[in-house]
Amino acid sequence: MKVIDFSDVHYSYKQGSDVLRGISFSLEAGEVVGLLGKNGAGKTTLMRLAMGMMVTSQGSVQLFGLDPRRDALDVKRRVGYVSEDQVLPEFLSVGEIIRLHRGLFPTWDEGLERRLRERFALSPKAKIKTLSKGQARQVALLCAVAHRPEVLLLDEPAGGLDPSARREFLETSIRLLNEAGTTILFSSHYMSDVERMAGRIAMIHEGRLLIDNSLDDLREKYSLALVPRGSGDRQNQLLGLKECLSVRDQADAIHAIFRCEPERCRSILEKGLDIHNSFCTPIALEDMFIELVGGRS
Amino acid sequence: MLALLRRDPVLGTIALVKGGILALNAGVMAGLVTTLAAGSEYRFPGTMASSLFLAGLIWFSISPFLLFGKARERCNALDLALPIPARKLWLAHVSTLILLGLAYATLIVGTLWIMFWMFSRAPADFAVVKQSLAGIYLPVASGLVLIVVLLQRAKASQCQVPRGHAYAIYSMLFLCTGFALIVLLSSLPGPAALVPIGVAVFLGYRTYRSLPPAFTWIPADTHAGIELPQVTRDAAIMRAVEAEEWEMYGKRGPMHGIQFGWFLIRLLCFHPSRNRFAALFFFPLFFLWGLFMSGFFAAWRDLELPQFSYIILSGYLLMSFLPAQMLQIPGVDFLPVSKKLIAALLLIPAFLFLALGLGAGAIGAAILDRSHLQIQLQTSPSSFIPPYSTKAPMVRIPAEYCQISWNGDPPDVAAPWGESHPAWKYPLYAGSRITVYSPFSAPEGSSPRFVAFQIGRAIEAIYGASIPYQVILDRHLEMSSDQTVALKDTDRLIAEHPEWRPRGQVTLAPFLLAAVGFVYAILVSIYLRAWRAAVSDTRRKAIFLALALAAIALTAGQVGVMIAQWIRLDVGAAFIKILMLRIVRTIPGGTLTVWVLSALVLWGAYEFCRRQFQRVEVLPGQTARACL
Repeated sequence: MKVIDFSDVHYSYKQGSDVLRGISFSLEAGEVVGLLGKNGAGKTTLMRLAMGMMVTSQGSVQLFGLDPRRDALDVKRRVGYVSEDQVLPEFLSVGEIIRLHRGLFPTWDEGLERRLRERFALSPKAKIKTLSKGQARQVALLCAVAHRPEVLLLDEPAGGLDPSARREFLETSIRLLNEAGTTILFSSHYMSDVERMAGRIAMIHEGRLLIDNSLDDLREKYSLALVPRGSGDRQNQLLGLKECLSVRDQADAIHAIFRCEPERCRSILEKGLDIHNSFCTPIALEDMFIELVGGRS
Repeated sequence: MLALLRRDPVLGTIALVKGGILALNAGVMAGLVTTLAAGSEYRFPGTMASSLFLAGLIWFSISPFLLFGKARERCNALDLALPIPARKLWLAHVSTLILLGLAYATLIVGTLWIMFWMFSRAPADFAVVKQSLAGIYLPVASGLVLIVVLLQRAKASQCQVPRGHAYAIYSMLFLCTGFALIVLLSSLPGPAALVPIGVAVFLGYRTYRSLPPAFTWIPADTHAGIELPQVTRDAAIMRAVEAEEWEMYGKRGPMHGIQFGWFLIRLLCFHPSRNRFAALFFFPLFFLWGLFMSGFFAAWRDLELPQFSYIILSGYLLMSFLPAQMLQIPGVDFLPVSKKLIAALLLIPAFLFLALGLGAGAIGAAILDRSHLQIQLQTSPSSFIPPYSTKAPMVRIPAEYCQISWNGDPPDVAAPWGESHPAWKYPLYAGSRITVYSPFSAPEGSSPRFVAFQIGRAIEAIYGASIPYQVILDRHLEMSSDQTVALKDTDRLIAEHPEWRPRGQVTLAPFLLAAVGFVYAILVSIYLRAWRAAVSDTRRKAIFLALALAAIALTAGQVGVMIAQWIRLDVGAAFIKILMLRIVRTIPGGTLTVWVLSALVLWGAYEFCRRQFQRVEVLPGQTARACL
């Protein structure tokens, strides 16, 4: 069953320059999907569209088969959301903000709330305005997960947290919720977090969905080819191959990402472009990210 | 130095434009209230009340931005990392605050001056005794300089004054002291204003000299910098205490109903852009404005207010608070809170305060109207905004008791003994056949008996009581030495008949509320369309400013039309009042139907705005710069 469904989503902040250009993908119940893309790629926009905070220019977004704008209350009661620029009412104390969320979410789990607030060592009387960024983020995370949402949307949730708090959050909240069948879409620039938590990766680049694969597929079915510069326009020759996703001219060689295993990549280069001295290797997620967003595609 | 002034934290906040709007509003309001008060030319100008009112309005409009909020911050972290001496930063900050304060004060006084100038260009009827604006401006400027310097002496070696109760009390103290100083200076000769400036220069110089090479860093917006006593209790005790506190919060249960509603009101209405003081200023302003529009102050001073000429301005006043409120939406946008509820709490409270003021004022005005006779015998040429200013003596009655002549030919008024005079009349606008006339006028040349006859008719029309004109002539009229007729004691008649109630007293409140709500809805719905993620900040600001300018221009246009003598505001106001009264009397159900119709208009206007609000997109990262 599709829990989140993006269908041909377009969005533009300025007329004539779409930040999202036809994004289509969906999340099944219980899936954990890491959303990748460089700054300004449209990850936050996509999350906000899913929350109904913004309206698509074209295409549709559905959560649980509902329109997040029209059925905003039904959707938001079933969703937990944390964003990198989340605004919590500064004049409330931690205790009050938790009471506020308790009242808004019928499924609030006081046991989970207690576990998380003890883990984060939150003081009930502390005003939000007196908290550090990391502490405020912890409060936001607690509020987003303690009602055991069916969908968790996390837009850079760990930004501002120190490594131990980040790890703690990922390993307690996300894992705990995912075990309960929560669908999670999260964006992060920490590739190690993504690799640890996500089962599937969606990468947005220049408004389009460049990659939508399981993590295992990414590890096994993508490769990096280091191709020596030769005569002619080798970059365009490489881009002409249907398996080639992107190329990047580096000091040592031309770096090309292929949607196939290293063996097949080597074979394609030999047969297709008569290149025999290339070096093809599996690629780590972080390297793939850098190659894809930094190169021509 | 100019670069330092431009990067000062206080300019990087909402203070700049929001303060400007507040100052403009204050100026317009001060102008209107002062002008109205000056209408009773014998009482107002030069009195202590006028100085207090103007000084208070100016000082309390500008001080929130000079004492609170970012005024505490002398520089940011980046400035500290640059090789800029603390002295230079301190001087730049103080200069910015003073210049900003002077700009606000100039805006208020300038608005006042323009209004007075416009009225002084009007025909003699509208001549207003000018306030000595320079006499207000100099004390304000002088007080401002001293208070800013005194406040910036606090913790001068730090990059910001730490926030806390001590600072709040300190600021409030200076806020009140500043006001007292300005009032004192305005009652002293002009050169006295130089004394506080001299003191400020002396103290400022001493502080400047005492500054270290660089400021000490204190994180912004925290209580850091204030030495907190070290907690000596061990961790186990702390945990136990926290557990108890959590238990207490647990017992309180979830936030529902009124508590939740109060949270939303606090967030959306009293916390706009973290400047609670300014927010708290707006709501009393709306209430006061409602009170003003109701005609309460006018009734107090026995004047007639052309209330309908302030409708557009009222819509603008209400809208001017909205941009700062919009920035609070991301605080609840991700929560399962109904957009209808957010829209209601965003759009209704400001209007409600104005409506409350209007309602309270209407009740107050009705009580005041009962306490004195609604009929006056005017024996000298009237001045600004009396009902029907004339250059001749006449029996003055409230506007709603006048009549409309659609063909411009009202009947003459004839007394039983044959004396006859044409009714006082005035065309609705230049060249119009439609005229407003008073069937109770007693023009120049009327005999005292005719005057008594007209007063008797007016009493019958207004109070439904019949008094023979001979009684009025004998008991209540007297001849002055220059052979003009005068009422002996205007309140004696009403004192003798406490049971009298004005019969035709029509409440304009439902009409005014519907009209203001309609204008507010139009302005808001246009403005809300600018709140799309795809609309650039520049365009959003341009739309807001265009709406503000349009509202102000239309209001100024009304004044212009009056000055050009194309239409007389008092006559226009009377025309509208008479029509309203006719509507109330003609439609089935009377006043109740009018209230129901007015409520329907308001509901329709609100629904229209609410639909626009459904489409609003406010991004969490947007700051005050996005809307103002």
